[in-house]
Amino acid sequence: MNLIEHLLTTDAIRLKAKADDWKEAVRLGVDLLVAADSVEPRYFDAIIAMTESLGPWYLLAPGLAMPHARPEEGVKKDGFALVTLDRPVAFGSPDNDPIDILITLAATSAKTMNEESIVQVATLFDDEERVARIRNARNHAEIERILGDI
Amino acid sequence: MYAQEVEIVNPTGLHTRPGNAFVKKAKEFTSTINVIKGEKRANAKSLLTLMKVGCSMGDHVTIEAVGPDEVDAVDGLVAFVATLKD
Repeated sequence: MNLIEHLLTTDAIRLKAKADDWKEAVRLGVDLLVAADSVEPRYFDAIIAMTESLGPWYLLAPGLAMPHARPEEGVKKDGFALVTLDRPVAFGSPDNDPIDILITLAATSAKTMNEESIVQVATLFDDEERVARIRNARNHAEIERILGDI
Repeated sequence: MYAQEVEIVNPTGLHTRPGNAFVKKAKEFTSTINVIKGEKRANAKSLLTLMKVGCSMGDHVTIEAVGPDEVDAVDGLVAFVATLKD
């Protein structure tokens, strides 16, 4: 599944959203995946529980999180959701906090997650100028332009 | 410069949780460390670049370091990869 096409066609995007803490930030992304019929609501609980026991292992770089849980935690189909925050939140990782861009992932198999979904997310964000443009985008049209430039 | 090849033996590869643990281990060393798979290179201290390369079970990768603790860094990370179970 192509990340960019998916984001643009499912409209699983929320920009400059408000979240008081990391859990609310994760919730915003999961809500988009629930609305897209990609995950069951319990996917949120799984991400929170895993984060509390393992720490936020999915922080890719400063400012950037990629929350996800295992396929068996309520994934119905592959999906991506993009959330940017009006004000960044701390996930408890000095190397990467504060976080204000989240790509929430759902994948129907660990192999798809590791070898396709995550590689696509990392490729999208391994460009500081692009990350800055995504961070500053105020509406879907701007996001479409940024993603369309790739 | 010092380098060693290692085979990824754990089912999850250097993805997500094991990848994050690998990056944390790499940050214990001061040397510049790269993970090389074929034509692709990742900074071992950046989960983002490591995820972009995508190291899966069965892949052979080269861990290469340049710096004052390059031998310890490479040997330490090769040993670390061999202990991954997840």
